[in-house]
Amino acid sequence: MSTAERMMGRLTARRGEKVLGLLAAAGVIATAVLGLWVTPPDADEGNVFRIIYVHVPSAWLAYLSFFIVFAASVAYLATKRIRWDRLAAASAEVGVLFIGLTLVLGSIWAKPTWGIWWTWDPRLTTTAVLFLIYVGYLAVRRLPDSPAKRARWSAAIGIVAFVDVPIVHLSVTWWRSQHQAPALLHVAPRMAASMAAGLLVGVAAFTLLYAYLVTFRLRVGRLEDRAISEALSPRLEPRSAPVEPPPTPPAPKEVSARG
Amino acid sequence: MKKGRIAIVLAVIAGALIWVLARGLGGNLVYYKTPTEILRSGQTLVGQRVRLGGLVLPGTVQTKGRDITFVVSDETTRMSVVDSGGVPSLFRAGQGVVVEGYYGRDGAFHADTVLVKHSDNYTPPAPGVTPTSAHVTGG
Repeated sequence: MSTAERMMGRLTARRGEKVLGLLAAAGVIATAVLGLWVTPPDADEGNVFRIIYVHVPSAWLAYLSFFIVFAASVAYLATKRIRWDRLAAASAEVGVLFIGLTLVLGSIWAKPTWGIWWTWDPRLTTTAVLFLIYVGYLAVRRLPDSPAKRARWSAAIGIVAFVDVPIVHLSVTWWRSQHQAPALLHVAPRMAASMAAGLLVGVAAFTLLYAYLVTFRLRVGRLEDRAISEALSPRLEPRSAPVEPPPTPPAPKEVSARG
Repeated sequence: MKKGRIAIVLAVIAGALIWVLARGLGGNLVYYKTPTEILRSGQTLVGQRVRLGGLVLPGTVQTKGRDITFVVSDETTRMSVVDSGGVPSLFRAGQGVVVEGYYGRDGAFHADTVLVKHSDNYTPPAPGVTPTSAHVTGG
């Protein structure tokens, strides 16, 4: 592939990314308009209730992220293609960001309604554990090791860690908790139709946001790998006996530690 | 060395998962007890910090000086609660609550923290009614 072709490839990739970004931005703006103005306040909680339009979509986005980590980890172990490992890494980063956001938003919602910022109920506890597990996952990814080994270990953790996602979701039905059960997930949602619509728009918008952020992070990941392999290989070229032809980038298997 | 570190991280993750499962399945780690359960445990609970959960019985909420008293019910047992720590702005009769404190020898529950348990029902306010927004009280 010539440099020009590569540049073209990068440009087309970015066009799709821009479209996704615009769609996500439109969705987030629509959620804000619906959540703040179009939907009514809650009879009990008043306007504080409106935090639901970001709290629930954030949690959904985190669940989705960790499912993609799981699926990409399985795909990596099955195919040993590094692109699946990159997808798992990108998705985990986005997931950690949004599960953290879910915890913060939930805490802000809890203080004026429940009366406390935090309590060790099953939903909150398992969510905190979920956050910690995937922070651990990202930490493991930063341990110096060969890319193939790192990808293998990460895939193993990415598969096992997903166990906590259904535990988090079902905690409110399995055990007594402070946290309420999902209001939307009923045949007849336990909320006014306009509220349910606002929440669904929020979920759709955050799904687009997820796709945009992961696409962006994947491109950065590819550039990182290329920069590392280019930085490591060409220094050897001027020497006399060519041991082997310079590796065609991207050759991530040649890469060692990453900063 | 590197494998050792990975093993430590994995052990932490496994430990966290076991802890969560233990919390969920272990009887002593139930988030709150019902009035019936507390009554059944009786004097063995005296002096132990526990959570009591149930519905605030309408018509029982009274203010006595700095204390607020009310009755929590699980539809089988009624238990008097003496709360010295104030209540959230959404606290009202008929509402689900989780209270934290101690079961006393006097048969009443002495609470210092009251948490309002919101249902999973959300409705718009009745026509012409402006809901008083919940607000942060205390620290």
